[in-house]
Amino acid sequence: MKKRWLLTLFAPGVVFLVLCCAWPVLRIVLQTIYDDTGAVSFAGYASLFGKSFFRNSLLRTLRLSAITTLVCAVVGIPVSFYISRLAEKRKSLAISLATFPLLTSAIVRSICWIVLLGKKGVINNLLVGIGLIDKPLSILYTETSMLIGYIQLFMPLMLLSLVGVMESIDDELLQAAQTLGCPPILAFAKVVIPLSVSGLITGGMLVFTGTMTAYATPNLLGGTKTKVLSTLLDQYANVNSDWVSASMVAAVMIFFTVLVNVLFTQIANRLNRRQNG
Amino acid sequence: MKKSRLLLVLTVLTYIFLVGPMLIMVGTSFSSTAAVSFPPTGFSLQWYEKAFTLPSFQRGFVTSLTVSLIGTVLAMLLGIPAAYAINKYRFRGKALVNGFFLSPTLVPALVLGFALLRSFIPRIGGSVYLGLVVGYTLIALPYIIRTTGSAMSNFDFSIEEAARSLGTPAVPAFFLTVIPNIRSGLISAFILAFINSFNDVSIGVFISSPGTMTLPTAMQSLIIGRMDPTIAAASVLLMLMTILLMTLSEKLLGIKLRR
Repeated sequence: MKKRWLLTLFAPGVVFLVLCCAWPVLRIVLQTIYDDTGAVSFAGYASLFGKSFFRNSLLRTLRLSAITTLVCAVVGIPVSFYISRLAEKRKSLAISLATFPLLTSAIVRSICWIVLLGKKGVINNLLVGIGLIDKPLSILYTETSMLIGYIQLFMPLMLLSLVGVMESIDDELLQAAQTLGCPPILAFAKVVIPLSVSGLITGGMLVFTGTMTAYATPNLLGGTKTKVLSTLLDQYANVNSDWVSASMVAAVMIFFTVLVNVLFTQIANRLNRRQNG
Repeated sequence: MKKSRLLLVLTVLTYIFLVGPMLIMVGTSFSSTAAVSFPPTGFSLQWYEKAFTLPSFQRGFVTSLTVSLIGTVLAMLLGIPAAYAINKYRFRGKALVNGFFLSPTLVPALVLGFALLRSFIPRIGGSVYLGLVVGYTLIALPYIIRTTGSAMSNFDFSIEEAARSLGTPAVPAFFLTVIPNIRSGLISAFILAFINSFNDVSIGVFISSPGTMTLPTAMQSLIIGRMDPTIAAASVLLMLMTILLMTLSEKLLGIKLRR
């Protein structure tokens, strides 16, 4: 009786997921490791990884994701601590202001930076106008503009992941450390950072995988020389109609998303175990 | 004291970085010239008029609105029963089922769109519209499972058992006891999943045709050509929609949208 009832509740979702997600995705991945004769072969991947263009894109993706995560963490820790100590009304405003960009399309937030950073953008017009520089700076369509876009895109995720954890840190712990002669900055580093690790891991995972798989930001703020995996997948499929390479890039993206998820979860589990015993 | 002033400065700078660029874009959208400039030269609403009358934006808006709504509703129909079963019953393989329902989060949205384009859409007669609906259902499903699941984990199922033991059949008992108690969780999950789908760029990269594309895709194809304040005006309208949904849910329903 209970078994049949459980089956009724799960069946629609499971059937949908198998037909519309698991099977199409698995098919794409499996196709990349079978050659024309139906034998398993990794020759395609060997030639893909042999191209320096692909290797550079992969390394750029990982590098930009790591830098974005690091910047979001370094800025996010003190800022979220400050937010968590605000009076209720101001805290609520600060959280709403961080939620708002998150609920705004990535495309809108990338467009902002085109307006600001372009050759004829707001910043260049201003700098040329006041005579600080003669020629407009080329910031747009570089890794720098991509990084700026990524950090603005994902900082709210880090802040919101951290604020909740920061709230549960007892002020008396900080005071105790300082009473015992610990300088404020050191007390912050020794008390707040270890106690906020769980939020840091949640936020870090969201920021890292988010940056790795974002499309609008690298597409609008990056150039042809700064391809990342997502824009490379777009180029192979929509421009070159090279479906084999596109499928392999797609598989590589899934691989790294799963890998990062597993790594962060492992770290979280290990820390939990250490804290509990 | 000195330390907290330093923190205040850092916090203000961070918020300027997060929100400032959007405010500047609002300024440029009222420009009277085609050049993107700030402070805006003159004042005009011509770019708003253009954003409203551009056929690709009009069609994109309707497409985005309907596929996001249908996708979110489908995800709730598929997800709520599963979340209910996961939270209420103990059974073998629970972690496995839960993991399977959350598995779409392990596939980047861009890759999901690519896989649907290659392996799914050809099988359903090539309908781009249906492909978008399926894509957004998949994006919303794990999210619905998580949020309604956490709402149900706070619900005391003995209330439902009481209704059952007094003779109410299973389905009415569910709608009379469980649903009213997790109502605000359901509404906030619905609004957030809808906003998420409506704003998404990645699914539309591969699932689009000249006649059927989402609004973000239509906007993106216009930027590739040139950047004029029409895009800024359309972006401001999208931001207004977000603000409207946020305040509506807060003021009318008393629900704070939190991710």
